[in-house]
Amino acid sequence: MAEISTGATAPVETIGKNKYFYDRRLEKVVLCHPVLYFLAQMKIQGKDIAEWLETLEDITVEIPGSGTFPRDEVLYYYRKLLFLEDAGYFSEISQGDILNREVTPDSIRKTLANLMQVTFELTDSCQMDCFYCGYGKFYGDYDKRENKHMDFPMIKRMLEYLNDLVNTPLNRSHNRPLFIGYYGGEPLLNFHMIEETVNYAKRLNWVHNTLRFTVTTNGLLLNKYMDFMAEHDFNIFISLDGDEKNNAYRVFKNGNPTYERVLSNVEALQKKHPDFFKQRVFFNAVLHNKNSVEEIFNYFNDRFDKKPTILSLNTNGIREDQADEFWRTYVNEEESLYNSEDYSRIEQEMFIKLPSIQAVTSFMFSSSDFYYNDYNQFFTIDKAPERFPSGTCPPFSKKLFLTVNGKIMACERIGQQFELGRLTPEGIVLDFQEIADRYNRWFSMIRKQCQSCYIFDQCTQCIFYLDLKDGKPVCGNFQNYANYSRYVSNYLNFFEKNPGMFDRVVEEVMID
Amino acid sequence: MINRKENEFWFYIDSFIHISVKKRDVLYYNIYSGKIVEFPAETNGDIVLKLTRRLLSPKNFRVIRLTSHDMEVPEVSNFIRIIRQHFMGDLIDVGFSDTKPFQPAPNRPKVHFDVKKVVSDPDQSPGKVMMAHVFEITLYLNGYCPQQCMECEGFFKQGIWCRKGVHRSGNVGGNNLDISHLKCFFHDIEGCSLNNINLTGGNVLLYAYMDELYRLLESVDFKVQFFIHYLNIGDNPEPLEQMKKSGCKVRLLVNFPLETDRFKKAVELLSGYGLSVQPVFFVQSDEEYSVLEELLSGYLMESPVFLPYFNNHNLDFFEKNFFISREDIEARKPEQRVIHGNSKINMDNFGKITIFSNGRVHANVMDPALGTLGKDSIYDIVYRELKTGRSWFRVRKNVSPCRSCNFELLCPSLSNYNRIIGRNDLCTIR
Repeated sequence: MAEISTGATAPVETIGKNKYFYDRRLEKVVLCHPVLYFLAQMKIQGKDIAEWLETLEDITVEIPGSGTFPRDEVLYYYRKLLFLEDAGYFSEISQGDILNREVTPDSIRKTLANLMQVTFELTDSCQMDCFYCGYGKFYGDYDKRENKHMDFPMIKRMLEYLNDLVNTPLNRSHNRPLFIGYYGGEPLLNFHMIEETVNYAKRLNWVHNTLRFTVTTNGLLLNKYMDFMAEHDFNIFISLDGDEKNNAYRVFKNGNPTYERVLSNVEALQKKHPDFFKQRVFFNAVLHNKNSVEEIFNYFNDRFDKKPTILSLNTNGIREDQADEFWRTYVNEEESLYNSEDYSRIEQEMFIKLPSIQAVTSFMFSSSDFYYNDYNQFFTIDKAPERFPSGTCPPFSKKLFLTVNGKIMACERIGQQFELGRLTPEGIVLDFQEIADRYNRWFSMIRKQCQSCYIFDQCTQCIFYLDLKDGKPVCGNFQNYANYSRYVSNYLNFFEKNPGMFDRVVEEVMID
Repeated sequence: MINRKENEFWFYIDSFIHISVKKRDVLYYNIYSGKIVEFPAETNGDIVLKLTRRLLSPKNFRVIRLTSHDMEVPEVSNFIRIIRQHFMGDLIDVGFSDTKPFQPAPNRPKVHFDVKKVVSDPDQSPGKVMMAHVFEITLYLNGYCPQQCMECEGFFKQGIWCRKGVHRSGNVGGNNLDISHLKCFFHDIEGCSLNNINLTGGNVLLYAYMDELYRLLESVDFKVQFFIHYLNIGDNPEPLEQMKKSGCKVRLLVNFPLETDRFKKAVELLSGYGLSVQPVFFVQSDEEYSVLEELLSGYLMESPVFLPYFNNHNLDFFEKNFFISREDIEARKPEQRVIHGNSKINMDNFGKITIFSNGRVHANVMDPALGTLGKDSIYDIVYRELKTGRSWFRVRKNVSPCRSCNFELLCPSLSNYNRIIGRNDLCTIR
């Protein structure tokens, strides 16, 4: 493997004109006096500071942009720089070596044996015709919708297969929940399959796991099936974009609005099962040009005392002929938030559900030496183990998604051309070696970019979302040295501006 | 833009400095250089204490504003001089920036998956992470041993050492660890993060199910070490050949009174089989240490380990050789992860369990059993330790006098020596 390395220390200046440097290997932010910052920049640029110091004859030294300083002070900061260098700052990170990890058939088997969620696309049918639907006119990376319903033998085969695997000693859970999820189309259109699956799954022996159920619904049939879901303690995710005006893109096939019907069902659920509603019902709102972060927040806060998850439109897999209309519909979440009248209150209330807080939290969690994943890390000297290129989840580490057509996928959010296996009437075709080979092939196409990317160890970029250029994926989130410096600056800017948020993030936020 | 007055400065402490305040005394420790600077209240008054409290206030992030007027106070200027001298912090003219700087250095570490909290939360499950916290297992395979070591019931509490087993009936001598239970156990720990398995007895060479045990060991990739008393190395070559084949290491346990010839013979025999041998000596006095130094001068072997043994009469030996001093800590330079670890867990005990030949499982041999192999699942046993936290979470902040000492997080974790001697402060710091 060629020696590919990047400098570990980056100089960072904030909007408030404070100077720092951040070391990616030591995961430390060091606040700097302007002279130390100047010397650190010289060091990073490979200049010979000792030689430069020898040329200084005056008792004062001009530091560009900061003024004049006594020579002794400059020498003091040089000593401090050497001290920090001795402590490990300004080193190189061998990304070529770190990004060598490969998926293996064994690792896939282990991951599946510790599966956290299996989600069934119970049907591709839906009563709605949402303008921005992921299976609608904007996108071209899904199977044709044919009003199919998943049948029980199909679900049974998958559950039995998984039951065998998760009951092996490879499973290291101890009563950890295994979620069975229902997705669509509109999964409640195939409700009897939910009923049958729940009853069947509960009869199976789960040695290491407890069973939980979850459904994502448009809410139109909630009134009919809510008692069953409350009885079985489902997590229910209801898609609703806000009030009637905000919800205008969510319409029936005939174009009529769905808002009143959904609202009436949600209210019925809240009235009949108030505790369940409080604990287990969540809202997903899609942000677009007919609503805003502020309107969404106010609606759910005032009407249901809930904080919704705000989802941006998926910008991947857009059909070229629909691109103009798509981008007219699309709204950036951060911009929408900053346009709010009461921005600060929404930020406080929505907190980790906002992308701005998620971004700084993500940086803080992955790049701070005071943050530990678990107790084991107190014993780990090297926090840079081998990793996969990109931020792609290893196959099945989040979930297994089974489409109505029997495709086995790693997630419902990626294009269906990336199927990993098949469930057929004859059985399950899931070749771990082939999946490993495919992932490794995809990783090999992006590895070189990752090896020189400064954000490689905090990457969240899924390889399946990348645009292709000449048949190869190109990462839009690639960070060179200068971009990385700005990226760290955003983190520090946020806390310089909102110091009160720091303790809240440290105390309250956990990442799944 | 900050409304700047003349001669104002941001005074800050660097993020790589550990700060501790107890009562009115203050300690600053540079994790890179190991330098410790103390500011006792009796010699510094309250000025350093007040400045430190301001620096540690959650809203300040180790950065406070000082005026030149503030710095005219001799105690303040002296404090700043010392801090700068040891690269612990600095002054920056407020005019260089528009906002107050920020130093992300919380007073406590954040453990994302804090399994201790998770097991106490009925809505969460520790899942696979729980078993990932077991690093080292010591198995007492049998209880029988023909030797008559006076301190048999004391040694195993002060180090990994052999011990005559106690049968369920209460009789000394006793049983072999049930191989069927052991098989289930190995089955259950498959996929765990284990680093080490230590195997001892009784006379472990006489374990009744050794062949089956070796078959179990074939399937694991942990480091396996046998802990054998030197007097139990006999002429029977068979167990040693097996040991060699399996690639296990041998820790040869030696204590006084020492039978020098038998020790030499044991080393020769083990080395003759090509086994990697590391002797471990319990030492109770300087005289014993001198004897060992002379004895070992003629041997080429893996670095011997000397463990102090407290016999109720040799506290002066401990005070002289093993009590921790401030200089020891400066020389050890505990890293930030160790300081953070000390605030949450016992870094020596954490992740270790011991299983005696009667099947009883302990997180620490001096604590009550957490369960019994064959009756309780290893998951439930580990869960119990995480929940009750008798051994893995025995930290200095919960004991006197350490809880009120500024070195609390810099000192090594509490060990069984503390419990046996009856003092938590085996140190010369105070």
